[in-house]
Amino acid sequence: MNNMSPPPRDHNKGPAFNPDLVDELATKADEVADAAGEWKDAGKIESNEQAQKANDFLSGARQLFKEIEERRKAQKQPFLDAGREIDAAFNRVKEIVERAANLVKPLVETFLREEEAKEQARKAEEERKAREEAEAAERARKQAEERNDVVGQQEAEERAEAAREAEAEAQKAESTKLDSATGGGKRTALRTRRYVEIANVNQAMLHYRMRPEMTDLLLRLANAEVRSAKGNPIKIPGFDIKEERKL
Amino acid sequence: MRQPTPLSNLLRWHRDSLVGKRPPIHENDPHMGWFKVRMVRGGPYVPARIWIDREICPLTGELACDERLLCEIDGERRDVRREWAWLSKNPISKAEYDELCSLRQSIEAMAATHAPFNLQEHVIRPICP
Repeated sequence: MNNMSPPPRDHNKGPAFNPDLVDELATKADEVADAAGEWKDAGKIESNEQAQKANDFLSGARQLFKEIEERRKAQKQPFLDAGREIDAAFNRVKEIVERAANLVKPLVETFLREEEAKEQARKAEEERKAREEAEAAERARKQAEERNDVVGQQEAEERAEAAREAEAEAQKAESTKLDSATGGGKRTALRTRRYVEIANVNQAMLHYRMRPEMTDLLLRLANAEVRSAKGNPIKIPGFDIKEERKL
Repeated sequence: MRQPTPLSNLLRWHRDSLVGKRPPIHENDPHMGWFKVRMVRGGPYVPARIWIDREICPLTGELACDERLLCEIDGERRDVRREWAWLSKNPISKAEYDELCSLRQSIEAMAATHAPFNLQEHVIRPICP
């Protein structure tokens, strides 16, 4: 079955970068890769002269790497600039709306919190009344039992059951909902958001000690401290400081 | 009757430099050895040498004429006293000198001694063609 819909408008646009430039750099990179293979095949470096040549190979590779990186950034920069320009234009307008909403949100929050407080007070009162009714029903039941008043007992038990149901109903937690005035808006309610503050940093770190993010953070902090010591002796509790000689 | 200066004496300055002893450098006191220099900043290394020119009588083993130091940079004769100041900064071993000569033969671009040598254009391999 043929797809009769037209292709997207800019489907023939081509890549966002200069492919000839990338091809040129790829050719140079291929030569470096090829030479690297020869170096690897040549095996251990045994003479100073060979080491110097290998050093020149590395210098050339580094220079090429740097050139590729510079060209990449140059190709990408116009897009980054355009992205920033678009963000700035749209964010300015978004911010106006966000600020406007933030002016009114606290008003609604305050209203809802007050309504919730009123509702909680009302339910507490209902619960108290239901409890008292249950206690009164229990007293009436006992009195009817002493009098051998079967009807009286039954009535008292029915009162007690009704009081228990009313108490259970009063204990149900319900959040105060706010409906739309016009029907066009969503119903809303206060939500409970839980958040933390650090009460004991030692216990907190112990709790998360097995998490990889914790390991990464600790290594990052310690490595930064070792670097800033600039070769001077340093001790960091909990860490072994090692050394290796590298190019 | 003049005895030729022993080779080990002639090469003492060069030998001491190579092992890091930093022998003194005096402007008018050049020494025998092998060296490398650049003709321009970033340019390829060119080999240089200072050697002794002398005639030794095969019968007596004595000098037939004065010993004199000669200098060559990139295959061209130069005034040893004029060139000594900058040659003395970069002494190299004979092996390195030979390797440099060989490298210059295998990489054509190294012949352009007055232009920076671009390692991106000339990828260095373990065995140059």
